[in-house]
Amino acid sequence: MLKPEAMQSIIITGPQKLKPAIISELYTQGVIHIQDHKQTSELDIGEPLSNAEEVSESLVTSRAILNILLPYQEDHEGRIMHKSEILSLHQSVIEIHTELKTQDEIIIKEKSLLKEISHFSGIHIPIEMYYFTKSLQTYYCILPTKEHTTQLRKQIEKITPHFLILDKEHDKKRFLIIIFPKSHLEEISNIIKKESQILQFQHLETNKGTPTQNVQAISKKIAQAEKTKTHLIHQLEHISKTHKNSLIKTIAHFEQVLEKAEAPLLFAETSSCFLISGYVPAQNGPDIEKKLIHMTKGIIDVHREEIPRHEEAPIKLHPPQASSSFTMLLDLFSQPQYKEIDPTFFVFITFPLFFGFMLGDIGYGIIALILALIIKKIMPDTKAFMNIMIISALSSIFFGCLFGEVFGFENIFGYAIPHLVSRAHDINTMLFTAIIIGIIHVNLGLVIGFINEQSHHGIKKAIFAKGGWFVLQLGAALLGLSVMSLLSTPIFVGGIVFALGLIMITIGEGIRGLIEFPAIFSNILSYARLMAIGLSSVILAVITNDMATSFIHQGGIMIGVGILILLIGHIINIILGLVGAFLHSLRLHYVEFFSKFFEGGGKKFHPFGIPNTSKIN
Amino acid sequence: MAIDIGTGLVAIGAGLAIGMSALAAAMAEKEIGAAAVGAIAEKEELFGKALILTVIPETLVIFGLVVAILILQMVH
Repeated sequence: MLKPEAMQSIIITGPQKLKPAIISELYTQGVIHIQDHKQTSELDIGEPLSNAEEVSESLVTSRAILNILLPYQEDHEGRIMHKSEILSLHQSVIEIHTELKTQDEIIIKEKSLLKEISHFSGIHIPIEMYYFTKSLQTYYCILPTKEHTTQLRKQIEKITPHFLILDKEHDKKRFLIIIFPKSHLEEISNIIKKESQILQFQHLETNKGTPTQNVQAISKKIAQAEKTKTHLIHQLEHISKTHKNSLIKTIAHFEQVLEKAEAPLLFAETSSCFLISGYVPAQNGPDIEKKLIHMTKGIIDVHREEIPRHEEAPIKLHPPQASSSFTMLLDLFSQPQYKEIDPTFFVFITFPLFFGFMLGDIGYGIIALILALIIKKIMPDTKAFMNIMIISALSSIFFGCLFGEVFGFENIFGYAIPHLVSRAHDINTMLFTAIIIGIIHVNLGLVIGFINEQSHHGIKKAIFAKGGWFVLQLGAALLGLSVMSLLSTPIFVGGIVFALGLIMITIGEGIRGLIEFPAIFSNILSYARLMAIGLSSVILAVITNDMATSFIHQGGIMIGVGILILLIGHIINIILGLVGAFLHSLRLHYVEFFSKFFEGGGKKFHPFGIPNTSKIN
Repeated sequence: MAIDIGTGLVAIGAGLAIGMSALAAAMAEKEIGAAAVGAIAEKEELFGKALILTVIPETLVIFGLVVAILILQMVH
């Protein structure tokens, strides 16, 4: 219950010919965590089963096909495909896919060509007239305005009257075609380079005919390519409808087969027999041993041993049923060690309490509950997390009743909601309560640490290491109370107890424990955030409500504005409240609570196989 | 509502107490957080330890909050 599930070590030895059957049975049962065998000089690791390579190939091919079919819809039920079917499907899909890519490239090329030709539209001269010839040089350039063109003209005129400039508007600037004799190449080139932006046309190489003719031809090519593309896409859609589900099932199937085929890589093997060493939960041990021996008529040998708590074993958490969703919070952090107490149950009790304390609003709690239920239905993968949220939301509703808050309102239609304490007004009470909760929680952590310490290192170490902290707190309390004259004992009594606590900690935990003694006070003070976050949530809600009601009382269009403010304010507050309460609750557990007793670093129990799968060959 | 200058100064003191300690904590956690995310990106198991290291400077803010509240008590 309060410790990770008891494990046994298990060793299975048998002849090579029984290996596939054993692997199959272990996979179906799914209760054994196989320990990777490290290759030694005496025992080598095994080789994958004979079908491993073939299955691997089918798997890779199927995944490649699925990748191409990803954007398309599936339809028919689908069944598991044979290798030959997969290979031929792969062939056809690859062909269509390559063809599709080619058509895409053609379209891109033709479209850029179209863009370049558009520069020439309106000038009805065949394009081949512009190309470089032996005696004439052609430049294409862009100038901002007509005045620039005139200037350029004048500059070139100074050098030679024999030139031609065709200029037209293009894209809000002027596009120029400048043709001049090569005899003046250098000078005129320099002027043009200086004054204007020269264009290089990359695709316009061998086109002939007028711009209009070219545009027509290119548009026809593009339309043709688009048509081919549509046809190819239809083919892929058809293939997807018929085969996609089959592919998905096939991939899932082959992944399982491959896992089984590659299992021998974890075994120790000789030429005639194999050895599997691993871990099995104590409650499943006898059962699996009986099954294996019965299946092989006693030929294989199964050896099981209890693992004492002070040794290491994979960790399988099995807290009381109600708190099982909270193992997810341990997965986020670190698995406990085999010898430690599993804190899941304690987190199950206190996490929702802290969450509710900080969110503490009936309205927000109800919304959180509804959201969690909806998400749990839509995405069944998030079941554990949503269960945590549901419990926390219920806790928030409970604390909302205690604080008398609904969406920040303390009165509904003039009736004050009955409450025990008002968060916005009784700040000191809230701070006091939060600190008390802190003291209780931290000391709970110390008690668990005491129990852990006692079972690992004996009662004496436990008393000095953890008991010292209790004495320290007692000393501090006595000191504080006597200084404030609330207690009649003289001050030095508190001082002595405090010093005694320090000495005990130094004996129990060494010099490091002594140096870190203020940590316990800062940890307890840290719980003040329960009050702080709750207060900020209330204040935000109250401000939103006040602003909204002042708008609504003005009437008319302002009612709409008021409702808008109400919506936005409360949505922001809910998001902040949910995220903040969750994170800070979690942090209080991970840092302040766990640091008192938790070591962590355990390896998670990961069984080979999936329980209850049908025997697949 | 009119408040005398003494109360105003006390309020400024409380604001400074929490504001500056929050600033200090933020500056500290900025560096730690960046390093923590880098470590987690390479090794997922470090998440818990990285989270703890990142939030260690929070105590600065808590102390600031407590000081602010204590100061504000002086007003009453």
